[in-house]
Parts: sequence; structure tokens; C-alpha cells
Amino acid sequence: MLAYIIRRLLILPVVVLGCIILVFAVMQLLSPYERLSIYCSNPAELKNIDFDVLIERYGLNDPIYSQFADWFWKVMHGELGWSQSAARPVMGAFMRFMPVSAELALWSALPIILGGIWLGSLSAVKHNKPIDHITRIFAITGWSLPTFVAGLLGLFLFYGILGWFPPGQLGLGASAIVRSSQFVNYTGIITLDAVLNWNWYVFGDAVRHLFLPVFTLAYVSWAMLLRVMRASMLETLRQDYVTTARAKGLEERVVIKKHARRNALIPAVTIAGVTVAFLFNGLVITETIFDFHGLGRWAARAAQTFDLPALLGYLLFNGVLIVFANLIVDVMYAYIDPRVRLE
Amino acid sequence: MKRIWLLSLALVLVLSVFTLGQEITNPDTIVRIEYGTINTLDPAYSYDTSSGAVIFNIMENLIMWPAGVVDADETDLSYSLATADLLPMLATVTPLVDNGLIVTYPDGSITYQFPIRKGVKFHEGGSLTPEDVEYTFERGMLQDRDGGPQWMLIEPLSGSKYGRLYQWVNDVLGIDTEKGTLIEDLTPEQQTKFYNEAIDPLVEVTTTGDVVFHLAAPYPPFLTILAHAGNWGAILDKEWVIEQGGWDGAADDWAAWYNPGGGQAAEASELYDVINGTGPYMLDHWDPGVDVVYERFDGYWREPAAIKTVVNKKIQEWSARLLLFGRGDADICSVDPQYLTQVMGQPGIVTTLNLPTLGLNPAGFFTSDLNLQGNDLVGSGKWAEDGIPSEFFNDLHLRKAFAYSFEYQTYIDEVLGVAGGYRTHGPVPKAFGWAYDDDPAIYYNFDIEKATAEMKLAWDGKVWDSGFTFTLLYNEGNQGRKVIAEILEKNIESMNPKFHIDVRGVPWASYLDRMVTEQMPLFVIGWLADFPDPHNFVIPFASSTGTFSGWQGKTLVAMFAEKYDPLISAAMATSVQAERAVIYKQIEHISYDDCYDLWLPQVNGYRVQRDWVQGYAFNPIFPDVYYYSVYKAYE
Amino acid sequence: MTTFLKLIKNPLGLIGLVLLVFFIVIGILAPVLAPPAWENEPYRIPRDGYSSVPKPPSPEHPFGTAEGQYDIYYGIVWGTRTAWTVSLIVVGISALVGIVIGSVAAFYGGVLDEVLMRITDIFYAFPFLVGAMVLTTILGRGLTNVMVALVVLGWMGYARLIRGDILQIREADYVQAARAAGANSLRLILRHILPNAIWPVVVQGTMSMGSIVITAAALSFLGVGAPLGYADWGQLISYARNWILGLYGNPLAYWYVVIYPSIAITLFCLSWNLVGDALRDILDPRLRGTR
Repeated sequence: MLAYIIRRLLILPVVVLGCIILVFAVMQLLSPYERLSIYCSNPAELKNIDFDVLIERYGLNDPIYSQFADWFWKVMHGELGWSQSAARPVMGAFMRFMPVSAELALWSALPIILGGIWLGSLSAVKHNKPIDHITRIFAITGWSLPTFVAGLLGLFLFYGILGWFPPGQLGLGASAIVRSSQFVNYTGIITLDAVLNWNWYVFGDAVRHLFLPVFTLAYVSWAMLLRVMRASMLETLRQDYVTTARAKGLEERVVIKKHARRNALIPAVTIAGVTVAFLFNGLVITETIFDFHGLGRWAARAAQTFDLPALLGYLLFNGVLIVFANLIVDVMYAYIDPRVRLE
Repeated sequence: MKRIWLLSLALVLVLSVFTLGQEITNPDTIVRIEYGTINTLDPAYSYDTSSGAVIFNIMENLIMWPAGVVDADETDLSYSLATADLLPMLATVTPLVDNGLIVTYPDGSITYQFPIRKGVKFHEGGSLTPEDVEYTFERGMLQDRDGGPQWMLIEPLSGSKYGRLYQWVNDVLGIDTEKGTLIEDLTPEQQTKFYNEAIDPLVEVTTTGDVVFHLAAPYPPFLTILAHAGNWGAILDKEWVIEQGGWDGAADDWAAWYNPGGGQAAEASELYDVINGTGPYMLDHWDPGVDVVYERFDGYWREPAAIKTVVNKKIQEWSARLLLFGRGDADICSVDPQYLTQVMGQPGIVTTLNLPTLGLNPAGFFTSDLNLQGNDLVGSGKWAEDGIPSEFFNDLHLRKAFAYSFEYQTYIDEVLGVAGGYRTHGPVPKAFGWAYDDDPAIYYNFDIEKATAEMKLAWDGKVWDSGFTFTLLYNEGNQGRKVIAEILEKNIESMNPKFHIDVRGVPWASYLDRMVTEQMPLFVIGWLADFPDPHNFVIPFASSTGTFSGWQGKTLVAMFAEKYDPLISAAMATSVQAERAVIYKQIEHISYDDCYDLWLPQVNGYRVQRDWVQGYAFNPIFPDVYYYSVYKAYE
Repeated sequence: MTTFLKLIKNPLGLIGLVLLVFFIVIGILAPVLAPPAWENEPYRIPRDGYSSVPKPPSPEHPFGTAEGQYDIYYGIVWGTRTAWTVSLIVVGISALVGIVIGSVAAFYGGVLDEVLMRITDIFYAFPFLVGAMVLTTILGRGLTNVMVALVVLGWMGYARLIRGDILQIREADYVQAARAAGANSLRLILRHILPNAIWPVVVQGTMSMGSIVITAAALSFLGVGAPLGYADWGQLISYARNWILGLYGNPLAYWYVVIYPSIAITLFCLSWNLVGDALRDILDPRLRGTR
């Protein structure tokens, strides 16, 4: 197992390089002027820019391999360039926005995965009974509704009318506290930092602002996880070894927990792994609507404004994170089903 | 019975939201929500409205504009944009001819003298001295970053000889710096020579502690360029800038600070993310793309501001902004014109319409001598029904036909909607009443018959007989621009079945690319005033080297050089407003005759704020809210 | 045939099927139900004026008009065609690609498996939405490029699923038995492994039919999907979002701008999910003859 993990880790840079090459190749489809445009959204600034000089200076007409080599050298030195859309260095933008997205993702992942597994199991065990139908319809409506519609309606109802859950990450009072010198930002993850600072007001305020986006993300994702879990549970429940266990007189609960669920978890683990990737996308929309300044929102703005350094940097970070997540998924496969050979 | 309880409870909950006379949230904080991007805090570098808005509140200039007030209770439009009405700010007296502070010499040169206010403190502790003023302007000009605002100081101070610093360096040193790229290689001797000969004499400190500007030739709008609202005129603390790693003021090393980051990397400037001014507010923190927060400066040289904290949040999503605003968690909100109906009528929110603006945005530009290389907008590129040739818009009758084909009133009524709009012709905006000729004869109105007549005359009938096809692009995300293209499409196609126009949206990047490479038969873009003078408009619209006019193809550019450049220079050669007015009106008349642009209707200005926001200063040249005068109360 | 009958007998499956038929009919009859205003641009929604404020349903505009006076009814009807085109092409091609790659990887194992899975990882590293945004921004807006982007970025899920299943099933007893009995590889694949491994993929496919439409809507929301004024449900919804809050005192003032496209998307998705679920229940061999 250890050898497997190490081998996967060694391949990581190869994978990441593959991503970067692909992206870079696609970017070359743009003309040099188009790539320059990220710096010129104000016509007044166009007045004194000499495009030819700039193209020269940034080597935008140089052959691809030389541009790439140049960029790659910079990456190795941590200079990922400047993100025009974030008005700060790419690396700086990542450090600033990552904790926000991490907080949202972590708070959402648990309800999504646990909820999906539980709902799926419930649905499968009470197959074709009313509970089964209700949970399925509940999940399906969530899956069928575009995230942003669900989010905006939720915002309207719970904030516009009821005033319970405002948009944004923190209210005025809590932001002032977090910015002040008394509050120590250990991780950048507000809820965690609030606990570490023993400041329950900030914690409460952050949770209040997290509620809607987390619920929106979860509600929209449950269906996917529920289906696969349900389908897989149903399969397993009909397996011979389950029938045998039942025949042996084991309690139903034990049958489900010890035998059925464990095996049913395999596709669910795949899906959970996919959920991680899915969350990255869900974050793009959720962060935009609820005004969370995280990676998703940054990426969306970067793509809209042709902010190439930001996009390349974002893809780099994302690549690394997802490859690690995939590695974990594969290892979990091995853990759950020992019959799967790893070699 | 239970049901009635539940119903009343629900009703109470719902109604509790809409209480009238709502308690003022956060009485000593103003929250403003908008969606612009701040690029830099360096006053010499900044050339966009959002960055300018921050510098506007935190730093100050030598002189300032009088302002009216537009808030819940009053619409006082007593602002002024006349040079004569400028008020002293960091200077103690505004230079005028009458008070002898503006002096013209027999050789044509002019000096402006500013006595400097004493006892003014900077946020970081320094004191304002005349040397700070001298340093500010020298530093700015010597920085002259690509795409920056320094041309506005270089042009007047060089006697209208140069627009960029490198041109000046080239002349003085007799070398070719290849558009400034070689300036970093200048030797200390060369730097000293240039500084001593060209820059040093421009701004001097007198023995009495005044600051004098020397202009080699008259430049009528000079004072408006220095006025508060233009961040390029905001005064820095020399000692503090040096502490931040800025230029030390020496003659022999300024090249190291020239054009930081090539104008593309704002962070290359030492003042990118730090700011120190004399203004009523200090910077508490700036989180790029997220928010920017100001704190009141209690050591301000005037009475300190009423509001203690200003929070400026960036929120892209309209619905989120509306919700925050409606609940009173935000005091001032940016609203796009098409969503005005959603805020009007809300209790607690005040909307003021029909305010003056200073801009020509949008305007349509014809391109002569189109670049056909790799151009997918021109169809076959020949005289045929399936394309247009390069010289298509070189013909005056054709351009006029298009001008008659636009439904100006429909655009005002339907697109501008509640905000309303007005007709204008260019290139001088209506806001400059003294220079604007309101003669109805120089407006093109929607008239399909006249359009058809002109079409038949175009290229001696060739257009009418062979027909044409081309593509009109609009900048994606901009609905108004799409409508402009579609109105033209509809009316042009209705004239003759052989006329075809395709309408397509492209991202800004692509749009810019095609503008610069002169591929678009017709492009739409706009200009907002840098300083309130017609000169700031006639250059980009009607000069051979203008930002927009320079992209209009060989034939039109030659026309600008021949007919308009001399008039533009003449208008700058005299300081007498009446004389300038005559010239600008003449420009407007021949602009009508030459029909080189489509002068589109302009949207009226408007403001949206909570009803407890008072003292909201108004002057169309202000980049954003001036928080000094604002306070929160019910009156 | 028996499958079809069984599908009809399943109540939820029947509902799904009816809905699907309904959408098919609308798609086919689009030119009749909503005659185009420009013959060579049937997907261009006609606009009745230029005003930005939506107008409520009326005899000329049965579903009202959206921001910019685009006829919502027209957009929904022709949007049905768009939805079918996009979902069928994208799901079809990406599933095919994914199945081929995943199966090959699972069977041959070793280096090939490693390489293919790393390639899958490379594509996975592209966040779906952002990657699609970048691709469509560069290639240009328009449905074709949206479909290209969705296929390029969407096949990995199928590959992983089928590979995981095959790996598991390959070790199952009945496969071991068949192998011991001397069955060759191809027979193993076609007769025993694939038919059993394919079910999660089928389920995934039917889920995707609807979710692709939602993803396309998300792309429009972010500004890179179908162009403005194109008959596409997602495009209709993305402009609706600025009117969701209605007017003061009348939050449901513009309900029609949001509700109609939302219902269209939701029902389309729902029908596929119901049919997919029912199909799964019917076709899974191990469910036959169980309690």
C-alpha cells in the first residue's frame, strides 16, 4: 500500500505538467492583442499604450516553447504572475481566497456525503415504500433546479423577507473584529479561527452567513449521491451473502451495517471523490451569489476577463488538490474491498 | 382559531420588514455597495474611476470644485465647472488673472502661482510643504507609465509639444529610446541633463513658499486638470514616499522609477497599496476585489468628517445588492439603469433622476479603409451582396444613410427607460453649455426616406445595386450596445432586400483587438471626462492622434489631420472662453457635415441612496461619493 | 418490448416517460408552435421592442416577455430543441469516450491502465465549470463550442465509474467461475462483465441528460453559454436572475420570467431521472424474481 501511495505521488508532477501544457496550448489560440486586453479595460488607458512594444516586452510573439519555458521557470520560483481580476499576485490571490472556499467546501462536504449516504441507505432499505419515494423526489427536485435559482430564491426568502441569513461571509461587526489586531488569523478559516480565538460572537455570525450557501450546495448535490448509494445498496441487499446472513438469524441492523453498507460504499466512494471536484464547480456559482470571496468567484471573474495568469495558476492549484483527492479515493477502494488488486 | 393566530404571526413577520421610519442602521458608518475594481492607490499611476474614487477621499489637490447637494431632501445643482469658480484647497488662493497669480509673458509663456496652506498634516504624521507639491508633479511626470494619466500634465507643461515623457527625452538627449523602453539604460549624466533642462524648471518653489508652474504656451484647461477629482493632481508627502522606496528627488536617478511594471503591473509601483494624504479619511484597509474601508482622520485641517467609518463593498450580483440595500444594511448602492424600477418606490430609498453627466458614452465610430487581413466581419471583402470592400465607409453618403437609420427616440424611450436620456451631437458634450451649439439643424434624426435617398447616392449607386453584408459586433454583457446594433440591422435591412447585417456578441478582449486592428466597420465605445473641458473630448473623437479617432482608418484620420487638428490647436491657443466657444461650435458644425461618428443618445445621471443619507455632494466631475460632507439623519 | 411494458407498469417511470414524450413532441413541432421570425435563424428569439423591463403574459406573448422584450414562449418552445440537441450529443459522445477508455484501462491493467488513469486525472484537474468557461471564451460563444467543452470535460466520470465496476466485478465469483471454465477474454467482457458493470453508467447517463442542461444554464449564468437572445432555457434563466426579487411591495411581479424556464428545466431533468430510475429497477438482472 505504501509503495502504491508513493508511486502515485511521484506521478503527481507529471499529471500537473500535463494539465498545464494542455491549457497553455489552448491559450495559444488567442491573438497577442487578445491576451493583452486583460490590461486594457479602460479606453483612457488605451491612449498611451503601444501594443507592439508590449507584445515585444511580454514575448507574446515568441515561439510557444520559449514562452512556456519562460513561464515554467517562473512557476518553479513561485512567481505565478499577476492576477488583474484580483488586483494582486496570483499566489497572493490563492492564499487569500483558498481559506474561504475551504471553509465553504468543508462545511458542505459533510452534509452532502453523510446526508447522501444516509438518505440513499434509507431509500434502499425501505425500497418502494412511501419513504423511498419521498426522499427520491426531494433529492431529485434539488438536482433538477439550477443552483443559482435555488440560491437566489433562498436568499430572497430567508434574507429578503425573513432577514435571517444575510449574504456575504461576515456582518459589519464581526468583520471589524476579525480585521482588528485582537483577533489572530491562524488559518484564514473564519469559523476555525473564531473557535481558536474563543470568540463565539464571530463564530455565530460566520455560521449564520454559512447556512444558506451550505444548504444550497447540499440540496443540489444530494440527489447524485443518493441515487448511487441507493442503487448500490439495493444491489448489495440482494446479494447472496446478505440473504445468508439474514438466514443465519442476524439482526437486520447488523446485516445492513456490517455487510451491505460496506460493499455498497464502493461506488459511493467514487461519487464522494467526484463530489470533491463537483464542489469546486458548485462553489463558482454559490460564491458569486452569496458574495463569498473565494477561489470559485475569482476563477469566474478571471475567465470572464481573460486573466490568463490567474486561470493558469488556478488550474495548477486545482490540479494538485484533485490529484490528491483521487489518490485518497483509490486508497479507500483498496481499504473497503480487499479483493481489488492494486498492482 | 389556531389558523388565525398563525396567519397573524406570518403577517407580523412579513410586515416587520417593511416598517416605515426604520431605525438608522450603523449611524456613524456608511456602507456603499458597488462593483468596480480598484487597480492602484498610486495617484500618479491611477487612471480609472474606481481607483480615482479612493484617492479622491483620502488625498487632496491644490484646488477644488464647488459642489451642490443631492440627497433625500434637496436637489441643489449649484455646482460649477467653470475655472473661475475653483476654490482653494491645499492652496490658499486660486490663481486668477485678476489676483495676479496667473501671469502671461510676451514670449507666450504663462505662470500659475499657488500660495500653499500652512498647518496641514498628513495621515502618517508629516506636514505639507511647498516642496511636497513640487515633488508630486515631478515624480508623476518622470513616472509617466504606459496607459497612464501623466499626458495631462506633460502636454500643458511642455507647451503642448509632447504627450509622452519619452518623446521629450528623445528630443532633449537627441537619442531614440524606442518608445521609452531604453530609458532604464540612461546614464546618470543623461538623466541629470534631462531633468535639469526639461523637468526642473517646470515646477518651482519660490522664496516666499509658493509653488509656481511654468507653461511654455497657453493651455486654457490647465487649472481644471489640477483640480480635486483628478487623482494625478493629488499631493504626496515627499519624505513619506521616499520612505516607501520612491524616487529621492535627485536629478540623476529618476529613470529607475520610470514606467513601473510597463504600465501593466500596478504592483510595481511603491505606492500601489499604501496611501498617505491630507484628506478627511485615512485608509483602514484595502482587500482587492473585496472591500476598501476608510477611517476618519481627526487631525484634518478642516472640521473632521461626520461619519467615522466608510465601508465600500464590491458585490457583482445585482440581487444580492438589492437585498442588502432594501434592508438598510447598505446606504448607497450602484444600480444599473434597467433595474431602477426595482428600487423606486421602496420606502426608505430615495431615487433622484435627471442629473447632469459628463461623458459621451456610447458613441458609434465608422472605420474607413478597413483592415481586411483575417477579418471575418466583412464577408467576401468585395463589392458584392455577400461582403463589403475595405473602403466601404469612406463614402460620406453611406455614413449619412446610417445616421438617418438609427431610431434615436426609441432608444431613449425603451432602452434608457426610467432613467431617461437626451439627444446629443458631438464631439463636445452638452454639459459644456458655453461650447455646445444646440442648433437643431446639426442633429441627425431618424428618417428612413432620407436614409434611402442617401443610400442611393452612396458610391454613385453602387451600394444600392450590389447590396452588401457585414457583421456588427457588440461587447458581450452590454445589452445597450446589442440594441444599438439590432436597431441598425432592422432599419438598414428594411431599405433593400440586398442589405444584410449580422449581429454578434464577442468578449471585450476580442472587441478591443478588432478596434485596434481597424477591423470593425462600425464600433461603439464611450469616453468619460478626465477634466471638464471640451479639449478632453475633441482629442479622442476628432484628432488625428486621438484614442478613438486614431482607429478610424487612413482616410478619416487624414481628414482629422487636415480639418480638425488645426481647429483643436487654435482652440487651445487662446484663453478667452468666448473665442474658444466659437471654434468648438465650428467643430460641431463640420462634424455634422462630415458625419464621421454616430452620435447616440446619452443616459441621464441618477442617484440611489437611503433616505437617511444627507449631505451627499454633487458635481458631475466627481468620480464617486465624497464622504466628507455626508452624515446620516432624518430631516 | 417486455422492458417497455415493465417501464409503463412502474408508476414513476410512466410519469417520466410521458413527460419525455411531451418534450419530444414539442421539440419536433417547434416550427409549428412558434413560427420563426427570421427563417434562417430559428433560434433567434423575436423581440417586441427594446425595453429592459419584462412584461407580463398577454395574448401576443402567452408567457410574457423577458428583459429586452424577448418572447418567453418562443424561447421555451425552441429551447426544447436546444435542450435535446445539447444533452443527447454531449451525453452520447462523452459516455462513449468514457466507456471505451475506462474499459480498456480496467482490462489491460498495468502500464496502460496507469497511463489512461493519469490522463483521466489530467482532465479531472480541470474544474468543469471554469474549464468550460475558458474553452468557450476562447473558441467563442455558441452552442457548438459549449458542447465541445462539455464533452471534453465530462467523459472522465464515466471512465472512472466503469473502471471501478469492472475491477470489482472481475473479482466476483461468477466471473472467476467463468474464467475457470475456460471462457476467453472477449466473451468474458461482453457476456459477463460489461452487462453488469454498465448499470451505474446507465444511471449516470440518465442523470446527466438533465444535469447537462443545468450545466449549460450555469455557463449562461456565468456569461459564456449560449448568446443573448438565443432560444435556450439556461439563457432565459440567467437573465431572469436580476428580476427574481420583483418590485417593492410585489415580489412576484416578474414571476413569469423565472417560473417558466425553471419549470421547463426541472421537468426535463425530472423526467430523465424518473425514467432512469425505473429502467434501472427493471433491467438489473438480480432484481428479477426477488421479493
